[in-house]
Amino acid sequence: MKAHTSSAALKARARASLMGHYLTLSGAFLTLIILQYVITVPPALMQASPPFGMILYYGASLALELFFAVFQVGIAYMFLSNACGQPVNSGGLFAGFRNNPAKAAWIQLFPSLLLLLPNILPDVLLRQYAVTAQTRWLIYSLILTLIFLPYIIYVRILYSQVFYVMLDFPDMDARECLRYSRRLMKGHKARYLYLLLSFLPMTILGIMSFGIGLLYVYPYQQQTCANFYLDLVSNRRS
Amino acid sequence: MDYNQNQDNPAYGKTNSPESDPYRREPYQRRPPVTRSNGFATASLVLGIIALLSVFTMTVLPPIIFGSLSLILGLLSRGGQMKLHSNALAGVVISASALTINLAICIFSFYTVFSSPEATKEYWNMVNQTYEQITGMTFDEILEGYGIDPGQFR
Repeated sequence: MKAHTSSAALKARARASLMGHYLTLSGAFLTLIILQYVITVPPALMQASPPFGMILYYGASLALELFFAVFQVGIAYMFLSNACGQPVNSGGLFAGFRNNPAKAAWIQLFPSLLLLLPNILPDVLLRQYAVTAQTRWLIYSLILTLIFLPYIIYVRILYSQVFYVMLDFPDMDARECLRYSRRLMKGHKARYLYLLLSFLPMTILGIMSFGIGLLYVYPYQQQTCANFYLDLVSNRRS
Repeated sequence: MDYNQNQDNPAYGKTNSPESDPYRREPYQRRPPVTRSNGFATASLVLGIIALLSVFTMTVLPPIIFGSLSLILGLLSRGGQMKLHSNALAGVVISASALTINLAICIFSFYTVFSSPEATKEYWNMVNQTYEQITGMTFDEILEGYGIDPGQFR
């Protein structure tokens, strides 16, 4: 088995392959952000005849998450194409719609269900704080967030490769893609977490520039993640 | 750019490569070796200089925006290499200095305002007036609306 490529080398490759492609890839990112901003569940739904309004709100949010998974496939497609030296165009963002969109939604369903309660419970408590203005709800929400955070990170890392796997192995069904992502990440979770954390300083700089810098940081991060996947797969097969 | 590691791999790009999948149709084409971006390096230098100059206009936000953008572009200009281009290095140093000086000015300003009771009172009056003009409510009234005593900040 070959030695795994270091984070620094993966990032250097990402920077090199992004040269001349920032506009397209940042454009795709910006389009996705705008779509996520426009297509959203109205929070007013929460107030509609409790508790049904709340159930409806979180149900609609879950459905929206499954819908946006198709765009995540498009993003994975674009960065994987770029890593392999293929031409990249902005239409790549919609590649998920051409490539079995239902499978992308099925794939997203399992991690979304795993993270349903850890995401909803602190949110419900936070909304309770907004309504009652009692500080204890805010504290409960923060405590629950801190308790669930390691679990949320673990699940997200475990299934981080799933859309790359879906594109790379079109014959696999949703369950096999999820299983293969878990298998790929075996022994590499800490390495992936370290890789993600290494983008934290640059992300902070991106936020400080009122989000303009994020148009460069996001493609850099995604490209490095695509390179990480290629590294995992090539090492697994050699 | 070296993705030859994948070319060595017989399974990758061959056994599971569908014709319908354009990103795999011509796998592992060698990309022309673009190592560094002079454009990014120059942009980093220019933004760094703007950030440094805007520090002396005593405006808080422009140095932060230009300085952080300059740092990002400077670091990304390395491309596949680990060392920075001279322009990018200058941009990174200048923008880091601008951000540091800006932070020092902010800390000094806050210290000056909040160490004197008179200046503090004047500051909160200004905040209240600004909030009233924008929202129709003073900042104190907004805090009281959330059950927070404004006096604890004074």
